[in-house]
Amino acid sequence: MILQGLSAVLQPMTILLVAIGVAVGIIFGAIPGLTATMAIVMFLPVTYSMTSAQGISMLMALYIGGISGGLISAILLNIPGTPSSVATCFDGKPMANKGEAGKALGTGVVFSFIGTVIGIGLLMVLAPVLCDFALKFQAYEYCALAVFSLSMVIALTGRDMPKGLISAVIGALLATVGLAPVDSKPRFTFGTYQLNNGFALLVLLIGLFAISEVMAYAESVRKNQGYTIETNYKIRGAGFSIKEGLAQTKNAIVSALIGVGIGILPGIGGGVSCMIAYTVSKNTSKHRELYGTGIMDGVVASETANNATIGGAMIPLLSLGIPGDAATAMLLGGLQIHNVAPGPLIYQKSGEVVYAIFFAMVLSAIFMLIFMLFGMRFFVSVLKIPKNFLLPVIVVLCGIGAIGNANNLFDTYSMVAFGLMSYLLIKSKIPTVPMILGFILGPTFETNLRRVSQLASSDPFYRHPIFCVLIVATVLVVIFSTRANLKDARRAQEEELAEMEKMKAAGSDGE
Amino acid sequence: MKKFFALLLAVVMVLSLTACGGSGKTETAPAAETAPAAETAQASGTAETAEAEAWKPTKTINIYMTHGAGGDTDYMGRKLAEALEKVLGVSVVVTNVTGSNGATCMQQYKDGDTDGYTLIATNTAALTGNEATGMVDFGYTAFEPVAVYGMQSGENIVVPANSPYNTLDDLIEASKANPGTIRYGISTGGGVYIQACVLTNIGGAQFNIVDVGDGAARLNALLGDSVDATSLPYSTAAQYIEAGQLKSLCTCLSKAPDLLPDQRAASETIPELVIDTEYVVLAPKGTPANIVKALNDAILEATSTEEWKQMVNDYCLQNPFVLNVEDTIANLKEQRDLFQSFVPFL
Amino acid sequence: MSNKQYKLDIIPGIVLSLFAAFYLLQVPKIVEFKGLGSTPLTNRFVPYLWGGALLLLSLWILVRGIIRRKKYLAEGGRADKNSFAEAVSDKREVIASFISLTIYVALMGSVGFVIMTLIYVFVQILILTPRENWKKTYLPALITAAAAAGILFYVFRYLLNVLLPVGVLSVFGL
Repeated sequence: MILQGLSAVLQPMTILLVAIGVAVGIIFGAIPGLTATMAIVMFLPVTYSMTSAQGISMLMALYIGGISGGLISAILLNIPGTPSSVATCFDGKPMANKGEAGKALGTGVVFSFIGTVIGIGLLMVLAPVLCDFALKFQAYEYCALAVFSLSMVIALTGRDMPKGLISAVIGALLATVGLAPVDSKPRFTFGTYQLNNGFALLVLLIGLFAISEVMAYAESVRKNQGYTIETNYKIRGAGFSIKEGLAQTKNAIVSALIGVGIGILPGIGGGVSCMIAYTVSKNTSKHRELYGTGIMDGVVASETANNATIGGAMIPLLSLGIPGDAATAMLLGGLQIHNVAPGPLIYQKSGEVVYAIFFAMVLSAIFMLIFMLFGMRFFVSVLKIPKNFLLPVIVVLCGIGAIGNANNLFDTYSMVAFGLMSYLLIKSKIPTVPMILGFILGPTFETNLRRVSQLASSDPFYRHPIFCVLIVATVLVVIFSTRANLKDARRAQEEELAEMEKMKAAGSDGE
Repeated sequence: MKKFFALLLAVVMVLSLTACGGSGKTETAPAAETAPAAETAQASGTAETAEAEAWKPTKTINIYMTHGAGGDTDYMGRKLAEALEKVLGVSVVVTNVTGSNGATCMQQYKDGDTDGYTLIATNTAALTGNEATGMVDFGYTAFEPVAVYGMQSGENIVVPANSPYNTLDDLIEASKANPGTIRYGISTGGGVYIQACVLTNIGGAQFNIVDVGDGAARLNALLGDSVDATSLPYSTAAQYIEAGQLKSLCTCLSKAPDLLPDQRAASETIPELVIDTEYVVLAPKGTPANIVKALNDAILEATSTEEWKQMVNDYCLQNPFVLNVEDTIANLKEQRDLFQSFVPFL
Repeated sequence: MSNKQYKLDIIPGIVLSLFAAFYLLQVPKIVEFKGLGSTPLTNRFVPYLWGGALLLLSLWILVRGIIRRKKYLAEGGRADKNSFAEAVSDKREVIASFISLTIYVALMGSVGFVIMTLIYVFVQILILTPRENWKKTYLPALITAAAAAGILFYVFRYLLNVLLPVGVLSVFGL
């Protein structure tokens, strides 16, 4: 069966389709506004007419390529190519600004590969065990998990806690627009049916990152070269030394486990996994103050986690037939159309297809590594394109992405509105990243809270140990991160005071 | 500075000029073209059928799909488009316009171009269900129905294999004995919700109704012991039934699927509990009858092949089920009347 | 400390409090679900929760801003009065970018993707270019705009089947 799977993938035609899939995926992932999910949506109908091994291999290739490609624009442009690479911007862009674009890309690519491989490994070996674990997560557990993940916002906000919380709450507020979870009653739609669908995460991301990046550049037009253009793009090997890579072992393993863990829980997805892995990596690091200034650790955490999420998400998909996010929902459709029914009998009934999927994933990961490592030399040349030409085209691509998301022009209006909102928030020194967590987790929280309220009468909370553990953990996280934030704020205040003293001294000299 | 604003102003003016010119044109042009066409078509449609049947498409037909890629509605629509291309000799392009259980797409295209090149593909549960639950204020009468072209393998009421209940009656009786203790998983607002309402209000069941979400989520909840019974699409549940993890109590179709004839139907217990989800193609309101007829003929022809039968057998576990225009409308009316009769307690 | 920082607390504090109040006032308009499986925790509960949280948090920074302002003024700082016109002029590229972007998406449906993209990319490139370089930018900007409009329309509309609006070009049967 394993050999059958292997031989199904090792056909010249299948290999070619995987290569094309990875390449297309990387392009979709790398272009802001186009995502891995969209690549799968657009190519799924194409695979209807292929054999099952070919079709499924190509979809896997698109998925892995798409999630990996997002790091390119996150690092080079500070605009995440897909929701999964949001946290890659935090340290990737500062690295690029320091002239380490090559190193950042190399780190991202190699650790994306490592994350993918760890995810696939766990998928192949531990799928049944992890499935049982995933099934323990029901309304109660999800509700607590959402609260727990939202408490991470406090750790993400840094010194100005109220503003970070405001950002997260605005995200959650925006997510309440549209049909309410559970009962599908319209909320805050003001009678416009287009608002019934609410806002798409993609559109919010475009507003928060792409549009605000254009505006940041617009501000610098007259302030000669607000953006220093790095001219040194020499990349040797993967851009970083073996020693530097090995130093990240623990970070990578922890992040990969977080990624797989979030992947197997349906409905959360790569956007959250990269941010949580980043936060955990930061808070457990010996040099947490360096995060955000451009260190490898941040890129490693984010990219390992988001790629490990792929393997994680495949576990409930294959063994239970339960998709974890929009991309895997599409893959589920793709499998069913090829008469492969994911579920407990998948190994008995379509064992060769399962192994074909595993090999296709490994093959895609290898192609991804090769394409991206060789491509890096070309990707960095994006930095050579003058920003005043590049950014308008990116805005257009984002607009296409917003339209293509549900084939609806309305989303472009939301895109502009979010751009304006994000600009004003940044001007008010309100961080925009917590908003993404609020936006994703707010509905998870609400949906499951309301389900809990339905269940409570016949299924009380003390029957749910995971729920209790998570709630206790949330309380602890809140206490500890608040303390850490206060410490940071005090230190910052002292530094500021010292600086002011210095300035005053210098000022009185000058005058 | 001043020059800058002057330039900006100029650009804005140019833009708005083109816009005015543009929108003016787009608004008038199609109206001018379609109005007489519609008139003549209606005239000829009623007067001489011979001429009416001569309608043949000459350019690309766009089918707007109400549900996302990967689902059954999308798959059936794309298969139909593929088959139609062979019959009609023009390309048939399927585009997904998703959201709100298909309501977004239907709202957007119900008043679309009536030249026969704009069609909507959906399923009847979304079409009549959204109207019954009050999500939208229009039903099939807001369209010109073209054809019902397939029947889903249906939803089944399922319980874990070790559950003491073997029939729907068992389940309902047990719920009456201990009201509010049997957790029944639904997705509020959809066909499953309607089904749960019928179970409760007509069947007299007294479940603890719990919202769980879509088919995959309901499966997850049932396997994870978060609900005691739920309704699942047969395609989702099939493997678990075969593996001996789940037990099907009955199908909610009016009769068991053609390829699985041995199942009990829910209507044997509660006559009103019938949810026949069919795949249907609609045209925007006002599309001339001759065009609708021609399209229906093309669909009938496209689905009469052995290949189509094979595909439907494999995918839906049903035999091909394709209706002509009159039967399509009658079928939709029957389903709407049934769903509307549930409205008081939805 | 925090010279003029207080402004970044007061203005957002006011705006967001007003927004939160507006949001909270909208909540009672939501139709509550009374059907099967409804519980006392309705679809209004979480909006009240978020709206209330936002109101409290924005009042927090508002109060913090007022305290900071008092402190600043007490320390002998002057409340500076930046003229509005000056602020607008300082941000003219940003404002122009937002205006052109708004016009771009507003007219895309009626005028069409190709024409609007052509105009928008051209204008936006100029906005992002220092005035003194405009002369040598016209041609490259026009080429970029035309290429972006044409290639992207073809690829996404015809190869990837995205519903980019055709607009006025529909007369050419595109």
